[in-house]
Amino acid sequence: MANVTVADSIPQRRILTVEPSSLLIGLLFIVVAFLVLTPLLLLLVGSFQLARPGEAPVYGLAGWKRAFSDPSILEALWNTVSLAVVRQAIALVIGVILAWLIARTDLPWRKGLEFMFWISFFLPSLPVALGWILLLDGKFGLLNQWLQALPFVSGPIFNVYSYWGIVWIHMTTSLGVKVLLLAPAFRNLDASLEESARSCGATPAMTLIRIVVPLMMPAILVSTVLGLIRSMEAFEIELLVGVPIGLFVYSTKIRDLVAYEPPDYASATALGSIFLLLLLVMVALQRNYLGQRHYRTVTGRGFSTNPTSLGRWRWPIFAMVALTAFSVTVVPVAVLLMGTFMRAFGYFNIANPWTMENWQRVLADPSLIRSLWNTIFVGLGTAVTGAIFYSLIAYVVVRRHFKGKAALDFISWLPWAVPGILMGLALLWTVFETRILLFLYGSVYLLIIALFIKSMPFGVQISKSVLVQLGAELEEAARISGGSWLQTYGRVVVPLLTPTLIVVGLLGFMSAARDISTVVLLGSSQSRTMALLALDYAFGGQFERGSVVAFMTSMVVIVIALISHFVGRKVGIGER
Amino acid sequence: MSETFLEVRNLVKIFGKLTAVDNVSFKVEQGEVVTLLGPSGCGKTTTLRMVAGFEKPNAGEVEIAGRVVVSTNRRIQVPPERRDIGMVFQSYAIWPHMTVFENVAFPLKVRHANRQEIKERVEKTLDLVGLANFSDRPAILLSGGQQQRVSLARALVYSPSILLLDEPLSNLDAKLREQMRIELKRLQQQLGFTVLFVTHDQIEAMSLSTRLAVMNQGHIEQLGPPQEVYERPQTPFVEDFLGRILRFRGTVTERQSNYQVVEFDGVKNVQVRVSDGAEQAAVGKKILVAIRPEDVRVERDHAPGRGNIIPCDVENVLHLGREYELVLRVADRVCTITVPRESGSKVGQTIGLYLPAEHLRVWAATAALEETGTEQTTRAGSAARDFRAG
Repeated sequence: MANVTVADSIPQRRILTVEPSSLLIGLLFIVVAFLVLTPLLLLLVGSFQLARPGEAPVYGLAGWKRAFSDPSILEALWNTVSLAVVRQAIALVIGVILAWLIARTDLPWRKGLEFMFWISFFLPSLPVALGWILLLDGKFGLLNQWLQALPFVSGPIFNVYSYWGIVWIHMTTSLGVKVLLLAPAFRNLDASLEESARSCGATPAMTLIRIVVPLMMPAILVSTVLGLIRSMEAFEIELLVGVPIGLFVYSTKIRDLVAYEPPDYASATALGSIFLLLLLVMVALQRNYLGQRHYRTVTGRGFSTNPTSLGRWRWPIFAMVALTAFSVTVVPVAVLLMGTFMRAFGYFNIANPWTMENWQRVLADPSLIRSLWNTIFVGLGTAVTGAIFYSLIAYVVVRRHFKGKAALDFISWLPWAVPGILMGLALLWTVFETRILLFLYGSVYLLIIALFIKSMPFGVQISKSVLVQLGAELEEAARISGGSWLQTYGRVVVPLLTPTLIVVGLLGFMSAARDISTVVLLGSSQSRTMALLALDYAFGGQFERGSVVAFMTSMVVIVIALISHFVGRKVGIGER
Repeated sequence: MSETFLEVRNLVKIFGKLTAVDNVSFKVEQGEVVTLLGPSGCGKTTTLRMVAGFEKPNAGEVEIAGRVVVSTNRRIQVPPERRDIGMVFQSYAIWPHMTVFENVAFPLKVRHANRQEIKERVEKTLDLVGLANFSDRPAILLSGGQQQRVSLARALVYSPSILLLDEPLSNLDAKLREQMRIELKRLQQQLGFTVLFVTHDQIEAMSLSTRLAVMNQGHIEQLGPPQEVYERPQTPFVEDFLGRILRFRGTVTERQSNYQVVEFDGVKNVQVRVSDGAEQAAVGKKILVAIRPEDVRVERDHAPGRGNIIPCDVENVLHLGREYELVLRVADRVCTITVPRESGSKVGQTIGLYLPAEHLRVWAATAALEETGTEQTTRAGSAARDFRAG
């Protein structure tokens, strides 16, 4: 009898200990799915809803009809696609060359150069755009003024307010991500794969085309798709230099449709849905393509990475790369800093052009103080919720076995494919449509939610990669010693994961400091962050104040990036 | 001269402060397999990579099939693709984005062979390496051994002047390695290609080579047929690196024209005759006497009167399954030898080690050498039969 009692008690205890954990997983799943999927679904539904928010819903196709018939919308669509393709094509070629030079040759100072591209990856585009406006404006642009001083030049050479102006500014903000993604891929390529082609009789050019490029295809593809998504996201550059000349892309068009009375949500959401579907198809194709191929190369002990000698071209090429690296970092920021001390942005010829007034005024401006606090609040909110939830999602996906694990993994990754402006639009629409969430409108909490969703894929991916490296044995030992999985998570996983959590939190904070496109539709004058304030100043023509705030923003971002870099290096998080 | 397929003259390669390859010269005749053997960091792979053209030497010349491809004096550095070489890499370097067929066809494609010829030759070569049915398989789905075969087929398909093998078997597991070693030997004998082979594995080197070069710290210590290098090592390094060795300290007590007499340290009244003249030591000089354990015979009779037998105590007997390991004490040092099961030695027994004079070699006693000899695990060859007979 005693035996039976013991046997009976075991299953009971098991049921009791398993229940709360599966409850927690279920809860996590529901929260993540709700946050990610609801806005996207409502975005689709919203495109068929014609009535204004708050009124009785009327369903119809008018929004889609307008989206496909309004010539200005069609033009914006065309501009978006054409700008994205042109930019990606140029950036890809230059990016591959730069990454190869940095990763596989004896280029001088290649580590320093890579670091500069890394910095440029984090630089927000608004300050960069302001810097370039100061340099390339048709009337007062510095470069134009200098060039016109030359005897054979008459009239401005460059005009940043143009199609190619947009391409140029974007180039300086998108080379960094290309180098960042491609350089490690080049570095990990086993040199013996190239050497074997050479020993078989292939020339270096043939080896590049037949061996290196196909092997690099996954990295090239990922960076291209990411680049396309980011160019869909692009907002502030197009707003500053496109809208003044009537050149709209879909993101600025969506803002146009939503921001002015009467707002046309149906068309805006229809336009958004088109891009959402387009991107999802593109991303699905890319995943499919990568999934089919087996790119697991054998890296035995013979792994060698001999840098290719550039010979006598070494220093000329260095000069070119260094010039590029400076153009994407130091040049725009230095010019921007100079701009903050100007009485009138870009006017050097007036009497007494230099002043401290901009700084004094901005620092005394209550709206700056408010936006500063907003930034800190939104930043901390995103950082803390992100660090907790992302690591929990990652832990559950990596370590726990349950139904719907793959779905959770997929949903947490989905925001990767959704441009920020669409996420913002979808959330805005969700708030309006669901009424009960209306209290969020105009509050900083909405910004936190938006950035939480937007930063989710990256945060979860980082935590997952670190967890995989940690190995399961440490936790299994804790379980054997009698800890439940939640205790194990709290006592063993979290302490081991702390540096990672710090990095994830810092990146969340950084997104609050730099992101514009995700939050631009959500922020009110009460809840706007510094980046949004800078945009409002700059778009409202107050370049001097805008540049002060933009400069402060970029410094905050760079400092956070550096801290997370040094913390991250300790736990072996790749420099991405 | 027409026989010489590869000639390396006075190659030097310096990495920073380290001279990785220090004035290396050798020749490879047609149809020969010449092996560069040595511990890691001895410069063997660097030498091979200079022959292939992936490293540029600081000095020296390389001639392949009568054509100078490297000459620092004449400023010649032919790129790898124009050297007409085949190479098998340690990591196999199979291109993961191609099928087996595409991998093997690549060298022919870059040589602009026509479609029909490519198909025929690739199929023939795949058949030769035993992968006839794997043509359309993505190369990366193959096992290690199969990748190895693809790599070999890819290097052979265009019949290059010379085949360079860079530790081709070291990433395989033990059984597969043995199998591929035999296969490689068969292919080489069948096709008669010329090979420069780099390995740190002495079994591969001994069994595959026509001649082998033992390398150490950037230079060749000894170059010759495997048997000769094994049986007549010219330096203590070669002796130690190839096979196993027993070493004893001793003092020269007598010199004759064709032998010398040595008294081992701590072994009283035992005179050992040594025929080796490699180290012409004067009487009274400290020396080291070395012998391969398979040349040692265990004798039950250890009476000091008979020549070249040293008595030793059996300290321990370890049963290894198919044989016994004897831990023996000779004066102040311990050495181990393995003997067949039937030998029946017991702990505490005193036995005699017979050291045939013609197999003993004498080296000057240096500190470095003495260290290697303090604890030795070795194998006695035909000792058991003699033991029972005795």
